[in-house]
Amino acid sequence: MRAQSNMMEYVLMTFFIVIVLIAIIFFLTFFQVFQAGGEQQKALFNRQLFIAKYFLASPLFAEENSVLDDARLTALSEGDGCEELKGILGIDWSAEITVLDDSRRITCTGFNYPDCNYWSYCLQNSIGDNIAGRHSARNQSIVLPVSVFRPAGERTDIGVLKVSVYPPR
Amino acid sequence: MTNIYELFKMIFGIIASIFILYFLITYTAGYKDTQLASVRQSIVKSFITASENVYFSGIPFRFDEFRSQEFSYSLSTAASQPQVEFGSGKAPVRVPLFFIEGEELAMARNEVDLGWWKFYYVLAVPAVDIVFNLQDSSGESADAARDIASLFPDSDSPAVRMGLCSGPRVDMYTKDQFARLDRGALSSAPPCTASIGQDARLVIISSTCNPSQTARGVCVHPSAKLAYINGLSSAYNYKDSLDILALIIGGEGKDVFGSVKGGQLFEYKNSMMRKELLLAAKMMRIRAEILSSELEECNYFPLASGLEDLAGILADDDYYQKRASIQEYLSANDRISLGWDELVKAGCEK
Amino acid sequence: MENLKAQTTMVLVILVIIIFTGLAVFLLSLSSTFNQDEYLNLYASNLLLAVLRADTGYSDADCRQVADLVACAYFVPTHRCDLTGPACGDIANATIAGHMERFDLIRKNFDYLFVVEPKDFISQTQIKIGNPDLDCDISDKGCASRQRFVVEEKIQKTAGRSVPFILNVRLILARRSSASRPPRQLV
Repeated sequence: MRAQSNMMEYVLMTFFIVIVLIAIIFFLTFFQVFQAGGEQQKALFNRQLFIAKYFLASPLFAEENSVLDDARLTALSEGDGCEELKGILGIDWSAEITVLDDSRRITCTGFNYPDCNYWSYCLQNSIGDNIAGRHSARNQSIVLPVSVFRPAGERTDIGVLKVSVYPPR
Repeated sequence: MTNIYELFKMIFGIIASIFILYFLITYTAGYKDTQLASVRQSIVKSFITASENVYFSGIPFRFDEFRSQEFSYSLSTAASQPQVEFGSGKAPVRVPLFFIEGEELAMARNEVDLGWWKFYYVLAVPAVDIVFNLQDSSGESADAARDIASLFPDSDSPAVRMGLCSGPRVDMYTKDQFARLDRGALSSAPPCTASIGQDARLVIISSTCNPSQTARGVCVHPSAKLAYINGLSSAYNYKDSLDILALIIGGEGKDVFGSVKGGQLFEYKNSMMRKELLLAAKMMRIRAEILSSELEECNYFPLASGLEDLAGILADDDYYQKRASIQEYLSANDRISLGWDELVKAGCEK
Repeated sequence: MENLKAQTTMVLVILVIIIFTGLAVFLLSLSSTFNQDEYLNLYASNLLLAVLRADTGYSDADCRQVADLVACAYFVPTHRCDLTGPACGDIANATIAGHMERFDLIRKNFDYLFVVEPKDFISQTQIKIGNPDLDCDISDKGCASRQRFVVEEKIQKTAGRSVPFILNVRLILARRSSASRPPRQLV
C-alpha cells in the first residue's frame, strides 16, 4: 500500500508538470498571436503615415514639400484619379483634404473651381454595402495640417489632410 | 538490493527526463529558426523604412544594419509590387528603389528631371568601383561618363569610386575627383583588359557597341542611344540616365530563372516610371485646362497639347522598347518643357 | 516522513506555478503598443509650416502671410496693416490663436506655445503666443513630466537698413495633463 501510494504521488506530480508545460505552450502561443495583432496595427499605422507623406511630397499633389496645389488636387479628383492612384498606393485607403476657411464644405470639381474647399480620393461608400459599412467602422485615420496653394487667387490657405486606411478584408 | 519502488523511481525519472528534454530541444531548435527569420525580417523592414525616409526627405543616409547578419537579399520585380526577397521572406517596396546588395549601403535620392516633372528614386550602393572604359574621344562619350558618375552618391564610407580603364591599367578616383577630370583624361582608350574585381561594374562607352563587344559589363552607345549588357544579345534603347543606371545596378548576373538582372531592372524602371508619368501627364493636362479658364493671361495650350500627346504615347505599355515611340516621347517632352518654361517666364508657374 | 514527502511535492508544484506566473508577467510587460512620436513630430512640424505660410488677407507686404505678421510683431508691433485696422502685433496674436483653435477642434488635448526670438543673437526680447508654461527647462520636474514636441523654423526679414535678420520661430506642443492618451481626431 505504501509503495503504491508513493508511486501514485509520482504519477500525480508528473501529471501536474505536464499540465504546467501545456499551459506554458498555450500561453506562448497566445502571446505570439497577441504580438501579431499588435504588429498588424503598427503596419496599418505605418501605411497611413506613408500615404500621408506621399501626399505631402509627391509632385502629383504638392507644388513644394507640404504645400498642396489645389489645381493638381482638383485634376486628380476628376475621372479615374482614384483607380490610377491605387496603382501607386495600393487599395483600401482614402484621403480627404479640407481647407479651413470657416465656410461650408464644397467638393471641388472642374466646374466650381476655385470656389470650393474639399477634395477626396478613394472614399469607401458605407451606405448600402454591409461589408464596406462594417469595414469603414474599423478604419484608422491620421490627420495632418497642410498648406493649400491656390494659383487662381495667388494665396496659400491652411488646411487639413486626413488619411484613412482600412484593415484587409 | 534495490526495491521495486526505487526501480520505479529510476525508470520513471528516465522516461520523464527524455520527454522533457525532447520537448525542450524540439522547441528550441524551431524557435531559433523563427527568431533568425524574425531578425532578418526586421533588418529588411528597417532598410525599406530608411529608403522611404530618403525618398521623402532627400537627405542621404548610411545604412549598416546588414552587418549584424550575413544573409543574401535582392529586389524581386516579378510580382505586381516589387519586393525585397531574403531566404523565404519578403517585404514590399513602396518607393522606386535601386540597390546593390552589401553590408553597408550609402543611400541617396536622385531624380530624372524632365523640366515639367521630376521622377524621384532612391539609390543604395555598398563600397563599389564604377570603372569606365571610353573607347572613343567624342564629347558625347565624356559627357555620358560624367552623367553616369554623377548619379552615384558621394560617399567615403562605404567607398564609392569611379575608375578609368585603359588596357591593363585602371586609375581610380573619388566621385568629386572624377567630376573635375578634364577632357584630356576622358579621351579614347583601348579596350579594358584589367582585372577589376568581382564587385566592380564595368561601363564601356563606345560608338561600336554590339553584343559581341560586351563580354563584360554594360556597353553604351551615346550617339545612337543604345546600351548592351553582357549576357543579352538585344539592345536597349535608353532615353535618360536612369535607364543606363538600371542596367549597371542590376548587373550581368542572372536570377534563378536565368534572366539577366540588369535587364529585369531596366524593365522594372520603365514600367514604374511609365505608370507615374502617365498619371502625371493626365493630371497636368486637366490642371492646365482648369487653370487656363481662370488665368486668362496665361497660355496653357502648348503645355496641354504636349501633355495630351505624351499621355497617348505612354498608354502603350511597351513604348520604351520601340525606337519610334521613344523619339515621339522625347519630342513630346521637349514641347512640354518649352511650354512650361514659357509659363514660368510669364509668372504663371514657379 | 511520508507526510513531508507529500508536502514537498505540493511546494514544488506551487513553485512551478509561481515561476509560470512570473514568466507571464515578464512577457506581457515586453509587449507594448506602437509609438506615435514620429507622427506627432510630423504633425507639429506641418502645423508650424502651415500656420506661417497662411495668407492673412492683408495686401500690405509686412502683413501678407502669418510669417510676415510675426516679423512685423517682433520689429514694429505698432505698424498697421491697413489704414484703420489694429496693429500687426494684435493681428498676429489673434490670427495664430484663431488657427490653433481650429486645430484644437481637430486634435484635442494639446497645449501650444509659439516663441519668436532672434536666431544666433542673445536677446531678452521674445514674443510668446499661447501657454507660456510650456517654455520651461527640461530639468524642471513639472516640465519633464509632460511629453513635448518642439519644432523650429526660420524667418528671414530685412530690418531697418536692409540688413537681413533671421528670426527663429519655435512651436511647442504638449499634451494637456488631464489626457492619458491622444484622442481620436475629428474632422
